[in-house]
Amino acid sequence: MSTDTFEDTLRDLLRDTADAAGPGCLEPDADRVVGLGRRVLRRRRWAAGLVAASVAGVAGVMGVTALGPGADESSLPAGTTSATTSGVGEVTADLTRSGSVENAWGPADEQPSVEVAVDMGRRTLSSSTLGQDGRTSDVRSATLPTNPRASMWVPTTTPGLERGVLPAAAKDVIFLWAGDQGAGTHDLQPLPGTPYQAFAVWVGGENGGPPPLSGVLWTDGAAVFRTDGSEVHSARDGAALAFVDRDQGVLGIFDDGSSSVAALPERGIPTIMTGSQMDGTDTLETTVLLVLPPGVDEVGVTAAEGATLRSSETHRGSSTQDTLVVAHLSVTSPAAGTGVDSVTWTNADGSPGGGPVS
Amino acid sequence: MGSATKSERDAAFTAFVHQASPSLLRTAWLLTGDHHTAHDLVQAALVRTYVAWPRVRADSALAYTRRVLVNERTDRWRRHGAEVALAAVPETTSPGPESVTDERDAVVRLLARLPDQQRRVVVLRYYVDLSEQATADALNISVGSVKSAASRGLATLRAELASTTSEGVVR
Repeated sequence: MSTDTFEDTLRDLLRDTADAAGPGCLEPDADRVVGLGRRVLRRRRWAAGLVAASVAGVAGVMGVTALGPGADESSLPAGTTSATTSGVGEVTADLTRSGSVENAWGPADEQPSVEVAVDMGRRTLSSSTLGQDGRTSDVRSATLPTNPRASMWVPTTTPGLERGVLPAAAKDVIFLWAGDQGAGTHDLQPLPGTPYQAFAVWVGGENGGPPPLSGVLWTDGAAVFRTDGSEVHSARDGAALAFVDRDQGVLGIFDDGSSSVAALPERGIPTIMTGSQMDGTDTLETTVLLVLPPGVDEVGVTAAEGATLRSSETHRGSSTQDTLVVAHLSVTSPAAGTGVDSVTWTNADGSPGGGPVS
Repeated sequence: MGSATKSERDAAFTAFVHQASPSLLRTAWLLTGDHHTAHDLVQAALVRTYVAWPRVRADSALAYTRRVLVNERTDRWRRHGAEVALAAVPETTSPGPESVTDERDAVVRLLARLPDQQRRVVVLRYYVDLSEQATADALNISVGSVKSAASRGLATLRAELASTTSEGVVR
């Protein structure tokens, strides 16, 4: 028993709720689980054999080593020889798809799972996929980047599947795609003893199929980084970590386990928001990022009709960096949009600036 | 799990699946609010446990699998990729007559509104009854983060449950 009676109330409520839901949950079939587990183990042995064979067969090949059915070396990025002996100094992670990606993917237990392996001694990343038939395919490897904050991935022949490594310090990640990726899901697994964690991401794709992964943005909770490990201009405001990345043409917000990102517009004031709305209320609590020119001062945020401005903070970077304004609002009318109607400021040269916020 | 033969290991693992599944499914259901997703999550966690089974101690097998389960990521909990600005706002639905009068539905809906980490901390602390340290170990985060997430999650649930109580949802 705790001293907080609400904690005890919540415990009772959760138990009652879970007990009531129990009969509705279909228990996993133990034989099915064992069968899937055996496939993973078989795949590991198979992949080890294939990669070991590659040492004699393809040593000296420039670029990312591609083994197994369907590999297309011509599409691979340039790099250095990456053949590696199996099992020696390797740390592996198994990644499986869970959740619902309904476009191009069927049930999770009928789709390829992924193994990602890192060998820090040889500085290699390798990966393979395990299909429904239990066969390993798409075995590829590449040389790890020298920057420990950099991310990388190796191509697959499976449309909509990308796999690779992120820095272990990444607490949240946004995947950027070269097109409309549709619904997606991803899995992250640790690679103990290495500066990395493994990722696999599955997307369904729309209007022509899944696009390729074009980049990642990740945060360690304090800052935001690009694929190559360089830092993105960002500002923390409470739980929100707002950022703008001119190189990749996006702005976004990491906000306590959720994230939002959008392309920088060609015109107008770049704006993005996150928000949450609780059942039983009509109020949307929003966090809005406004990207203003470098060096501005005296920023004024005006709430739209049907919204209340709760706070607004201006975060200035260097003289050449965008000014990031993070506003928190309560929005009671859908017509109020993000809750911000307009913003005004004084430019570095003293001239007034401002405009509407869409 | 010692030097058991493969068939003995599989038999022990199968027994573990039968024993652990009800508890794991309830936890997964609270985390996801969806029976199908809960089933997928538990199955994925059990497959990983099978792969690691020779290294898993019998007395910690449930904790091991639960740890795998709560660290699974699903699309239900977080969105990623290029999104338009408003896409991050969780979808809301008008509660139907049945759900309005069902406090269990209410708590599941409110759990689903919590940020990912807060939801996992709340479920581990107040449903599974793990200590702060055990919760931190399971989620690979600091005890301070557990305290913070629990505090914020409780505050949200307390406020929202009070709100729904006033509307007659929770007695």
